[in-house]
Amino acid sequence: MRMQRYKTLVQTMSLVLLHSSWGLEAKWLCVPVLSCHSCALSYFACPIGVFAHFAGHHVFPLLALGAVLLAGVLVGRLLCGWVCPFGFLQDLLYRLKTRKFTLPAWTSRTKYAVLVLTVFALPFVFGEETVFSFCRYCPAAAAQVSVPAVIGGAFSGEAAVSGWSLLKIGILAAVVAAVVFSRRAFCNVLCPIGALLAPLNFVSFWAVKPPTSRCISCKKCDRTCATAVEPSARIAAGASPSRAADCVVCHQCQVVCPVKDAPGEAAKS
Amino acid sequence: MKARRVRLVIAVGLGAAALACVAAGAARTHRVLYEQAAESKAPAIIAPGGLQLPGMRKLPPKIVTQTISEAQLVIDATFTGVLRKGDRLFTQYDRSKPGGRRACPT
Repeated sequence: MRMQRYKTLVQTMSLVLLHSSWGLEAKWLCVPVLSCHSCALSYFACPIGVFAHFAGHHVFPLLALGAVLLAGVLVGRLLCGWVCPFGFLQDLLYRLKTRKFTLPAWTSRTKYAVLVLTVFALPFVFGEETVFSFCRYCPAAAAQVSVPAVIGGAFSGEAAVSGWSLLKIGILAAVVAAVVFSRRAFCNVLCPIGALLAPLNFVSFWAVKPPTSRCISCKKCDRTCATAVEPSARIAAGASPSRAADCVVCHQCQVVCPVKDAPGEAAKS
Repeated sequence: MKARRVRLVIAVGLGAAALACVAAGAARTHRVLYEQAAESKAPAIIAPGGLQLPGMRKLPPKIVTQTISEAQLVIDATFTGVLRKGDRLFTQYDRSKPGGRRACPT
């Protein structure tokens, strides 16, 4: 419970720190979290937007790819679990008391197709302004840009709502509805940043330590896992539970383990 | 133990590749073109208020070549500041004017 509160605090601080620019900007730097750089308060660039535009320019995104790769090698998908504002929104919505369900495992492969097609291939073929670009449908952009623009327009009397804005807001509404029932559904199924960082979870320097060397297979960790990657199998094998593509490194499996090793115990055994 | 070592080697290799990408990206520059609106040479008395008379033709825009860093191209990409036409990149911003916060074109 303490860890959960700590995570919520870090996510809240990240949300504020990533979106509090009143003048200073570092939009040459891509931070691998789903946060639209078109938001007036954003400090950093979204790697997905930059990749899609560079694909349209037919220019290899050295700086953006280097930044994302470096973050991924250092911390894997830790940023998804602890920093991403859209992940935070999903965590909050999942707290609503409703019936919950887990998506079939195959759906998690969809995000790789989304990444390859809508971020690289289609913008490369049809140009950066193509209607097939992920940015055209991005629910984070809808939450940060389209919704405030529509609300602002309503207050100022300028009814300038485009069809694209409405479509984006509709997709945002569908995503919001889905994540209420299925934990981190967007991260698991559609997030192209998650797809970029997923393979790096297997080699990243940051990894969740197996909480116990004497697993009793109670499966508490499986039930609490945000992305249903069944960490119990890896914990029982003495491997890091975060060495899975879909793990968002939330550390909950470590926290809920009822037979946690004392500090240094695992090393001795 | 062997798997751990292999993982470490891959991580170090990828980390080095990432740093190399960042360094190369920081050093790389791009050539972009900017269409500067040409000033009319016609006397104002002939064309008051920009009136175009028969026989007068509008001058084509002057194309200026600029060299920008990759960091600048990333910033421009965040606001559709550069567009590809044919095999050339055209910047949408007049860089001779002071910068500042840019409005999202979409």
